[in-house]
Amino acid sequence: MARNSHHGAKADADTEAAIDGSHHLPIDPDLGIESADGTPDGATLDAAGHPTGHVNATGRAPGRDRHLRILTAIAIGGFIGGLVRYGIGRAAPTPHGAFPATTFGINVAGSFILALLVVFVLEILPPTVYLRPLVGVGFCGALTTFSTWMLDTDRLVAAGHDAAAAGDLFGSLGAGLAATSLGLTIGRAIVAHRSRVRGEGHNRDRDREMATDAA
Amino acid sequence: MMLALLVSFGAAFGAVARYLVDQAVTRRSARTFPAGTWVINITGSLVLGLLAGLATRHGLSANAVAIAGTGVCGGYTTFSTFSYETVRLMEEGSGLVALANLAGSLVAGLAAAALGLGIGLL
Repeated sequence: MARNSHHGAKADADTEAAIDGSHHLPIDPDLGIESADGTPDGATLDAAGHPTGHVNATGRAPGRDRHLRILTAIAIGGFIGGLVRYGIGRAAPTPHGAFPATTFGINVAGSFILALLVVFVLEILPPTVYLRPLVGVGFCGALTTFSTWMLDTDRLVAAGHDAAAAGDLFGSLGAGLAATSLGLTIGRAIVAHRSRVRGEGHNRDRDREMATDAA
Repeated sequence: MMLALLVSFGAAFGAVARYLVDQAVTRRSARTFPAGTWVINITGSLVLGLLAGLATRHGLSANAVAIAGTGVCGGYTTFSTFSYETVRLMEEGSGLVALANLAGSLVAGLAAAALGLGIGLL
């Protein structure tokens, strides 16, 4: 019973933390990718995933194998992200001197997806090593672009389209930050809902136990 | 079709380079300021500006610009991580660092792209 009460209290704390956003998401969304299962970066693991100082049968350190698999996941995600951005850019090219709506839309959408993904990977899904490199670093990173945003703005200024330049610079910034916040808020609402449901489950168990004790 | 594949391979290369550069820069700086993403976005903007200048003045082919610019520079630089890090800094109460990241990225990014463009037009 004491154990259940403890769990209930922890679930409540989790719910509050998720609601006020005080749980610990990293500032850098790539942080700790190589140590997603809790081992330090570069630590070697044996086939069963236990830390070991030895190299495996292939004569290579398994930690290095994992590093290469993470880089492969980033490359695959980057390939798809780049292909999607290029495809959308070809399908909806921006006319000269116009507001670059395509890059704007891609950057805002990618910001939303990345924020939602980080909450899902770190707070909802079971521990996973390759999802963040694949979808976060690879896909979202390559889908969105900073350099085109800067160059487009410079070119609009140079061509005398000051309003479009200002709209591109500050519009992308505002919409991007809002999309990130929305992604985090939705992700956290899902986390809070899940832990509330789990917390109620614990409380029900506890009530049932108390009723049994009383009888 | 072939060009789309080459652009995508360029983006894959850029994404891997971004991860490695971010790790290398972040390991060297203990501060809250997201120096890794900043360095990546500024250097990528410089190179994209350079490519655009070379295309305008020195006849760099449109295909080369698509592969190296849209592909590599686009995959290397990132808006989503820049936005994410800024929002997280604000949430953590590091408003000044968030503001420095915003202003520093925009001012340096616009200057870097313009500098690259200027060099490419020489």
